[in-house]
Amino acid sequence: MAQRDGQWPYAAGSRELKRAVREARVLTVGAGGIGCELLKTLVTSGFRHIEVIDMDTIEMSNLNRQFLFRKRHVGMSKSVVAAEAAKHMRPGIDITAWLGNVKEPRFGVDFFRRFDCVLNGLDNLEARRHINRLCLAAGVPLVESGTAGYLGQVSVHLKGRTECFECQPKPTPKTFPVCTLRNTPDKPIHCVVWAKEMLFPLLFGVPEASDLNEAAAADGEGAASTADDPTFYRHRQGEGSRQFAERVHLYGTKIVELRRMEDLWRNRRRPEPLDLDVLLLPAADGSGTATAGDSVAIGGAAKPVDVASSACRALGLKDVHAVWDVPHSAAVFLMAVQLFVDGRSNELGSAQFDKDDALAVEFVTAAANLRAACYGIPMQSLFETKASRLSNIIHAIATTNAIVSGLIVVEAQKLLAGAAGSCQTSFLHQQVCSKRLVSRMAAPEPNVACMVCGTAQAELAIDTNKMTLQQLVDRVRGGQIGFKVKLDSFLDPITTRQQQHWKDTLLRRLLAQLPGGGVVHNSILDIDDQEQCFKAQLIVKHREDWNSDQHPEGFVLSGGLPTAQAEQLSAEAPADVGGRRDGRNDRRGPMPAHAGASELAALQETEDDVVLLASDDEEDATEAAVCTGGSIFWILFK
Amino acid sequence: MASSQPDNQLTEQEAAIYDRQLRVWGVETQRRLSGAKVLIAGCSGLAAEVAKNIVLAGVGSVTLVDDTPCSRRPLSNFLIPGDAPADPITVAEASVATLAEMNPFVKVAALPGPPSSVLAADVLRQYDLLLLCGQPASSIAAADVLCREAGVAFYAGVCRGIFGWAFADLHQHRFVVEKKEEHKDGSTSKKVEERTESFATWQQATSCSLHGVNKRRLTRLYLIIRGTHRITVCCVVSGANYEAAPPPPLPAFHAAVISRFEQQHGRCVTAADAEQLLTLRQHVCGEAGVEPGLLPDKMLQAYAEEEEDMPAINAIVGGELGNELIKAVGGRNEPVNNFFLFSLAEGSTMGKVPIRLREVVYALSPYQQSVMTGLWKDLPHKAAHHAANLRDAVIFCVAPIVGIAYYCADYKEKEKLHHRF
Repeated sequence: MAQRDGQWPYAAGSRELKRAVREARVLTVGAGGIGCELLKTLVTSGFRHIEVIDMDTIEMSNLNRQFLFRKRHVGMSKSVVAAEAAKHMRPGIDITAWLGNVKEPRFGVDFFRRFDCVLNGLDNLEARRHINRLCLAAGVPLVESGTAGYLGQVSVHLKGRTECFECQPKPTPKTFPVCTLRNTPDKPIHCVVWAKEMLFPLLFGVPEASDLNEAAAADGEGAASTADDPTFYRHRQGEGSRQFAERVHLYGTKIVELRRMEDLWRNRRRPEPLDLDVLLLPAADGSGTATAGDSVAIGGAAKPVDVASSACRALGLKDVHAVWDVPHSAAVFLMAVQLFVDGRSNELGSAQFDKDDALAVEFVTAAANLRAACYGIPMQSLFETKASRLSNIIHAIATTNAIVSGLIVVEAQKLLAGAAGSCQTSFLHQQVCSKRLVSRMAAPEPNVACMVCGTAQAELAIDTNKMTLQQLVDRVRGGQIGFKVKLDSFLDPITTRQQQHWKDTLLRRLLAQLPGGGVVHNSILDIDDQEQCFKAQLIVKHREDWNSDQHPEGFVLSGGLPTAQAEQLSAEAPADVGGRRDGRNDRRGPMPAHAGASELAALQETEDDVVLLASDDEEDATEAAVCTGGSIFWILFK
Repeated sequence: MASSQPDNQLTEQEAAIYDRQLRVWGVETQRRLSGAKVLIAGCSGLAAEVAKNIVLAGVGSVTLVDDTPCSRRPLSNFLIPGDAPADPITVAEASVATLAEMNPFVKVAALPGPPSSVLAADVLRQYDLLLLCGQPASSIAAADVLCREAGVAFYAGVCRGIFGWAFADLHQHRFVVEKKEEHKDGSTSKKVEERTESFATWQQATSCSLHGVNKRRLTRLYLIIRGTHRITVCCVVSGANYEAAPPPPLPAFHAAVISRFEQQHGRCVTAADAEQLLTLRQHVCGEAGVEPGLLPDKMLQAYAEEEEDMPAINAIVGGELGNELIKAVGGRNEPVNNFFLFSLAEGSTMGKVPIRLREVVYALSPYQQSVMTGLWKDLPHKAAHHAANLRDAVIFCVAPIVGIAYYCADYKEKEKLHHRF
């Protein structure tokens, strides 16, 4: 692409750009709110080769903004339906729908390399990070976007020219101190999080996922009878669902236990226990509303299906905006537990909380409200509970998505017109803000200290089914790139037990059989030498047909690795590294496939302590790497 | 705009579909929306965007007017399927079919006749809001006058090439603003405030004096719009009666300027005629009282020569217009008064030094720009602010000096006394 920045805005209608647009291959990640709008804008803008990935299915609450979907499509795959709709809009286009998670290995670097531009319409940080890394690895420009209510943002991530998605730290979701959640909640959200993340998994899901167990063990000194037993929260064999529900109605016994912990309540109001029998009395007298007491038989097959999916419907509570009083909350709580145990016994022990699971949401609302009542915290309606962090519901409206899709396509057109220098980051405001509704600024330059895009990449072709981790470390690291691996020092950061484990098992294992899926085709190996400010990524390419004469080493390294950069690297943008070397860096040129002996010698001068860490979780790897200091080499299993 | 409020609650099904947007604008706005009747004249790509947005949002009814046959449909209108039968179906009818599918709770209809047929008071009175899409300045001017008479909220939008803009005239608009107040104990409460905003007419907004306006901050697209209005008025004055003849085709500026040019020279405009366009610029800028250099030739040329719209810009302007329409009908939050201007040319190629937030995409019309009024607004708050500043100054600057001075004086006095006795 020639650089034609000067012509940009006026080249927007030019014939060359139209042709470039027609011939461009673009990938749309996500076919949700932004995705639908984006597909529409792309198709009408003249894009003809589009591929779209989405793993989700269509839900009722999507229909207010994802306008390519109709009511009859509920339950079908988003990407497939959206592709069909786009085709209907312009029959001549070539559009491919992919059903699946973008993190699957089949959407690897090779997959991304096929595109001229990747356009993101995602809803979560994790996937955005993943796409960002793959796009950097593939050298494909990425247009990133996000919306929340009236607010929106579009940015361009172009390797070496603009900052990547991870150049600036991203805020992580807020967490709450566990002891507040367990013992001393003082906001409605504390109760909701407690119900969702502690009580729900304890009763229905994987109990290990809950922190409530330890809590019971820790503070149950006085009354060890009930809560210490981990099986207390599980549905026992032969126990009636109603019995179970009443037993796990913790607001009586558990709160009484908590009240005994004098230290906690010195400066706080003591929570008031709720007695189930007292609660159910007035509700039973109430007219019209079915109570939990009346509907013990709900689990029976006689009830219609939709009643079994919602405790509110079973109890006749229709208004999602109404705040239930305590007896109603108790009734919903009991009913939800009963329905869950009776209707979905197969899920017990493995249930996952899902924001679209009506019964789970009702259970959490009722449980949170009861707890709120104990602690004198205002109670919330079903609607409010759903909104408050219970799920990652993103407040979304069609207009914002439409604007963002327009901005994305404008940026994509700039990229295709060869005017990458004109790329901008745009922000949408809710209200006019310094006379603007849309603010735009030049795309910021990459952050040289960024761990992700400050990294150079090379391809490493090996046979992952024949080479062990030890061999990889010895040959590839030691021979080609110049790190000397000392086993002893490299095991420093891990405990003795882990060291032994490593030596015994991991190093001898074949790459493909390492934990976390192993090092396979398209895995990315991260190398980091902090003393040299040297960072690189090796993308593993699996190759089977090795000719031992041609490649006695059993691997081929291709692509430019960066020179070891001195401290003053801030002056050098990562993309320029290969061409601009100075001073001592001259000795360590970018490594061709087979480095000359002299260069190798030069490289081996740096006898660094190399640390090899392995983890199936990138966060862990990073953490461990940070705490060791010095020179580090770590592997990320993807 | 006050709209008829249906007493009925949202049904369970509506609540399920509108779940996400209810979280953004609340039940009350949704109820008001479902009572509103919107008329859209002209089925360009921009109209399709706005119609889609408000149909998804759940307005009461949307009526489209455009009798262009499908064979000559605007390519940017995504509502018309690519394999739609050509004639005799009009673009309005084809769009209506898709819109009706999008949201079954919204009544969607098409009226026969050209977009200009809505320019009648008895037609307008049946609706709460009129949106003119891609119509010439003469139609906008006429529609604005009629809407004022009929008491109908008025919006207009045009997208051409790399430019897109929208104009709003809500007459006297009453709305509520919700403010979140955070108390010292961390809890928040909502404060609802009712406000009124008065809007300028199209005529006022495009021909007001620019005297006293900071010319550097003037959005150049606004100058072009002034130009289109000016030229259209010239056309009307010089003989073409827009009531009788069909209104000049889109785009007004282009059509008007170029047709005049063609009448004089008997041939089409080419790039060689830059000088003529330059004269035009002189004219527009001279009338507006600004430096001609403010309006680059390239930009003027781009606006005049580009007839097609860019779908991306349609999406942006259509999205903002959708938001504005929802604000206007829902009576919640402050609507834009009165231009929304978007262009890819504004500022984006100027200089090499990156300036943050450099592109101007929205500007109040100069009619509304009044710097001085702000001076006398909110005086108690300002006084309190200054007092707070002063307090800090007293504590951190004056107090130490005074304290030291006092201490020194005291010390001297003591010393004096010490020596004396």
